[in-house]
Amino acid sequence: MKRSNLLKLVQAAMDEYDVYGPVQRRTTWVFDKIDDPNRIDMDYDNTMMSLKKFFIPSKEVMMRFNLREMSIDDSLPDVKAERPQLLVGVHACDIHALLFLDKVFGGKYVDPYYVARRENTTIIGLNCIDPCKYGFCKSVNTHMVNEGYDLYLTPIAGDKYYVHVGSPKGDRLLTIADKLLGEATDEGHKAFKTSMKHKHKSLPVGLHLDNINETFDMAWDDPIWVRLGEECMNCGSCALVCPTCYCYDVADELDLSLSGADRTRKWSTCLYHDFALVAGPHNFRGDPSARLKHRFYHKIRGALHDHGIIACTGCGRCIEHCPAGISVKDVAYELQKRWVGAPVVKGG
Amino acid sequence: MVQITLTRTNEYLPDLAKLVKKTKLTEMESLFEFEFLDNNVRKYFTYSPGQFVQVSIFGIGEAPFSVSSTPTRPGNLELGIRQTGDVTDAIHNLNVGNVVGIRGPYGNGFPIDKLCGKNLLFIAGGIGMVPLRSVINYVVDKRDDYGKVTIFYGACLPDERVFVDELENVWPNAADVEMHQTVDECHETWQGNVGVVTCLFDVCKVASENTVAMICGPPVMYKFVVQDLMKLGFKGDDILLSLERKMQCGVGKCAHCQIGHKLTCIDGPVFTFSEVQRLQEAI
Repeated sequence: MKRSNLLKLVQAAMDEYDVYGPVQRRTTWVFDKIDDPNRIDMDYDNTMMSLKKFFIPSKEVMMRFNLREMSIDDSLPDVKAERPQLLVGVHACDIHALLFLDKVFGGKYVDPYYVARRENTTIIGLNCIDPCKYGFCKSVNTHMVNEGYDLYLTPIAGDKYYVHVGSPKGDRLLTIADKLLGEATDEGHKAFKTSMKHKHKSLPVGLHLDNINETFDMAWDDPIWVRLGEECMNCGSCALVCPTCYCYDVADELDLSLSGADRTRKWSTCLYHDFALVAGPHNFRGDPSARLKHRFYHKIRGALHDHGIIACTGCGRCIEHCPAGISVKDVAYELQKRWVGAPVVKGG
Repeated sequence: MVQITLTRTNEYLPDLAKLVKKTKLTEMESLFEFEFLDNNVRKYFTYSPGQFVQVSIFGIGEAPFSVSSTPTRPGNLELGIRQTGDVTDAIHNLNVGNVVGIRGPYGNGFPIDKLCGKNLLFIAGGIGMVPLRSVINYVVDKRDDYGKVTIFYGACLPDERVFVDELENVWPNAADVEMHQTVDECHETWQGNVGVVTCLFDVCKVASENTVAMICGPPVMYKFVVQDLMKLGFKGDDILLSLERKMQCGVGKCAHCQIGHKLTCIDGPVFTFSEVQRLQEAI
């Protein structure tokens, strides 16, 4: 498919979908609602916020209470009735993040709000053949995707995209994209391989996942946690920009009339002082370094234990936005070096 | 018998229940009895001892509470609740007939079926008796299924003890139940033991053989009780701890109740000491 045809596809899809894509804003990029396809910048480095906002909004009303009639009005039917979303230009790391969130919000108890939005969303992925500024996806094996996309675009020579179709939803898009793309030619296949070769050469490996679980098991008492605890401001920026941090707070908000209330949930982070505070008062993680350590351990050791994959996609957002300059990559590297020997690192 | 369980399309939606009875336990704690409004929920709602429910006061919030009643006595759901925050304030201010939301039950509860034939040692501190009362009454009702029962109960002051009638009159008189109490501070109205709950190990010799200990109390209590139990020869798998954390969603999503990678709401709240031993920050 010609690159310019993607814009035509987006234009055509707007009749059916709410389209979101990467748009430059001031010093960064955001996934913004697209009313003019020309605003989409497919050469974006990385967005500040991840895709989780489309599935677990920063604040959402789960249900409304009528306090006069003591009745409950569930928001789920409204969520299900929302216009389908089409997300354009999603990097592999962010697709991996959604695959992780699927595990968290599925399981024994399914989160129906998340699932409704997920089912209502179509994703056009974008293969990064050049590294971004802060990302380290190849270090955590999230630079490739096998699933989680509906269409997947790899930029190839001749200002074209080589398109993978990943699902029936992707097929549906192709019917909209009638005549905008054609069967890949031999030349296209060749160009795709050239792009992939370029990708594997250009993406750096700054860390190695080997022994990451043992490293963290051994590093519980490492002095690094005290040091980082002093540097960390517990602002939660890392968790807010993180594509896999899903923790939330539930709170009721009473109307001024006192006749109704919303039950809301909002993003929260385990770095906040009151995250593990219970009545008493007893704070199970009152110490800032305990909270920072918990976040690292949950993302890496805990996620690995529960879901078989670490909850870091190497997107680099937390590194970019930490006001204290704490880098999960550097921390993991330092710990590995100290506890299991230096990881194998290849330049890019 | 066919077991019918309630299934929900949205686990976060509470069922409506009304307060039918409120009994003062102490200055700060009361026992609340709730009855579901919906006939089907009333009929099929069941739970195991050690599980908890989420109670909503609409417009104020939602909080987790251990169930104090036992499924062996069908009827209303009893929750022992201390007045200590926004939601519990509002619950204490409820009048009989007022409606709240309840969802659950959540958590694993005590492995009550696996404990058949075992001697049981209950160790409760303060309102740690709230979930253990459910198990104790369950065992009292199915007395032949279990061995000897020993109950250790510690509170700060005599007036701060919960379920005093059962402590004083009911359980000591139940078949093959040994009951010991202590208070932390000496008090003029108190003739019994004085000292923290572990001092009862000197009063009553407990044999670890074929015995399972169930513990619930304030966070500081667990470590000392477990130490004493290990000295008596209890194995990690035979020590069951009911832990408290800040459960908000109750279904393993919001992550407030994490202990390491474990979620107190779905992996717990009952853990064996063997499990807890491998978790940092648990006790």
